[in-house]
Amino acid sequence: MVLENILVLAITFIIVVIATFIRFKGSELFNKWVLVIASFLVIEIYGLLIGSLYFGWAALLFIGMTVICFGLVGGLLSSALISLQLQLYQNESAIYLFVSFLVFAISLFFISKGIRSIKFESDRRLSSLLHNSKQLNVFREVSLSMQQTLHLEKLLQTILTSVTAGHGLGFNRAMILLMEDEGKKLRGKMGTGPMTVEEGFATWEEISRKKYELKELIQIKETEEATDRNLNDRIKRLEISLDQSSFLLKALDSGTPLHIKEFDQHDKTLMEFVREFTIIEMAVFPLINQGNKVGVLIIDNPVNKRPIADSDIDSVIPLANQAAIAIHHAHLYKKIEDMALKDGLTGLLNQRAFESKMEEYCRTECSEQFSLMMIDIDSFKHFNDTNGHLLGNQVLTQTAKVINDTLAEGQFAFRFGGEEFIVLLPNSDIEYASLLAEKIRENVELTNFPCGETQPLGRLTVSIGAASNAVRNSIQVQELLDTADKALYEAKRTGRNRVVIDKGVRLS
Amino acid sequence: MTGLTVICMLVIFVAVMVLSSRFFYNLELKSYTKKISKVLQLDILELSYSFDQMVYFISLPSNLAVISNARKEDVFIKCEYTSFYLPELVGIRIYIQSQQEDILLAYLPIKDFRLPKLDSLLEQGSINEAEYLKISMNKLIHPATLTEITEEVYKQLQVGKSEMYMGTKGGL
Repeated sequence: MVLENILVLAITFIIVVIATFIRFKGSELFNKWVLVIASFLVIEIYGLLIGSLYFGWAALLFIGMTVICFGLVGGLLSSALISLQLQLYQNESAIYLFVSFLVFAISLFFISKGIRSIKFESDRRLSSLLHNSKQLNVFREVSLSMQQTLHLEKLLQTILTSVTAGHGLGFNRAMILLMEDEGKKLRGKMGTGPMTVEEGFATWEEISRKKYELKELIQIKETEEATDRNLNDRIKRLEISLDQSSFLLKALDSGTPLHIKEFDQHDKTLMEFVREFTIIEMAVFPLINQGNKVGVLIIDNPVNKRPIADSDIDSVIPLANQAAIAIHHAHLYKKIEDMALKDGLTGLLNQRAFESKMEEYCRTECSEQFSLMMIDIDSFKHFNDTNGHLLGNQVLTQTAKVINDTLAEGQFAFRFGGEEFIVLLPNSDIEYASLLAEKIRENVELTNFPCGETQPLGRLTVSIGAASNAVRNSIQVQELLDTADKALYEAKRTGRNRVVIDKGVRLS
Repeated sequence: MTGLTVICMLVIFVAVMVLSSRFFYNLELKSYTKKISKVLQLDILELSYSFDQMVYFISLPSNLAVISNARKEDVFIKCEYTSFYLPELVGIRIYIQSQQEDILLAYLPIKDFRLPKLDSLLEQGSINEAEYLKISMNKLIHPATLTEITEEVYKQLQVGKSEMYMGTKGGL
């Protein structure tokens, strides 16, 4: 008898080990069936080797497993099966046994249900904690990055990276369109993300391999000249009028996010968007600060095609609100900066900007060759006296425009005071300055100014003096200005509507 | 004697089932990944991943002595499974050991542990979500990954320490 008992325990051990090994090789249902069958085998072997003594108690193992694996139905069926078996082979009262087993099964069912509900509640709390913690992590990092700049481009890059990075909110792609023309149109500004699935996976692989953090990603995006060029080329071409109804206008007017899963074929702007960016689903967030509509943020998942959940939208809302504040502040800062550094009449940079530019330039590149030209409108006093100051102001604005339009990128025009302008030409020698000065003079001469014919030369003209630091080695900025001024004086003295260049022979 | 046998039988069945289930589950994950890796020509060690979905529960840098003075060997990881009898990996918890209690520092849920190579295979239809999950689970509980995660968490604690008064490190 002892041997049988030991044998039963040994077989139980072997069966449960084999069952545990096998059960993970299939689905969850397979796993459950293996457990139930294993428990059934164990009690049947017990019955074979030991007999009916305590079989009812042993059967609780089988009933218990069926309840755990298949709930109340499993418990009911197994109770019935065991009761029937005992009735058939041992002549015991089936009803009495069945009721006993059923009480056990129901009790176990409610205990396991209670445990499951505690576990479920705990999982739900963990999930909620994870979600909120992650969101706070993102806001903290993003707030710090936003605080560090008032530069619009950097700000937009920070917002977009925060929305798309895995460390951030993890969307595949995001783009920002900002208001222009006092809210009459939206212009595409910047985007982050791929245009194709392959492009998306390549970027994702790169980020994973290098294990970038959100802060690092923001820095990389800020320093890289052009990220996601393919997407940005398309975004920068976007110019959407808000005169006619569209999904963008709807989002801006309602002030709430728009989740678009099905496309309204009548919305031309939407259909154009969908075609251009191969969108399958998207969310549009209006960027509004204190009633000021600053733009829209658009997100989608073209790579992993993950559906945008309502909780995803909730995650973006605080970030979009924060972004709206930051963008609005950046606009205001730019406006103030422009007011401080730009001439209110002509829109050119002013004398303060010239001084600060020269200071900045000389700190880094003054050893490089550069040229200056000083431009003065000929007989401007006569023009004002003859035609009035209002027309004089108009002429100043028009002259500034001609000068500015003649310059290339990286060349700067300043209104120096009165009717005098300065042009700074980095990396330019005196020959180039001379050619450009001649071009400006000619363009002014060819421009139709109001009442230009009242001028002594029969049209409105300018005289230009140019100088370069290459001509006078290691010359100071003030000295160069004096030199250009002397050349200008020479141009005036020798008949006006002329360009005189400093050849390095007449500096007193 | 037989009554005792019944009790022992029940105990053996339940104990072996509960205590060995995680071992056999992990073994199966390993064996399954090995099999599928062969078919897909994947090297589990070479699969790149990022720490971007790891959620910190404690703000870094932290002034808590137990966090700021933590040594590398104080950082440890516990795998979290759904249940004892039907275990399935749901994530890993990263703790800092202290004399009073272990502090939960961060959590990485398996559903957010995404691997670009597998994402790409999933997109191509070479694997399904269930297969993806099994491979990523095996990758996450691989000793090399756990060591890397421990090092990363310790690095974050160090970075936090050096930037404590500069206010530039995130994490909650």
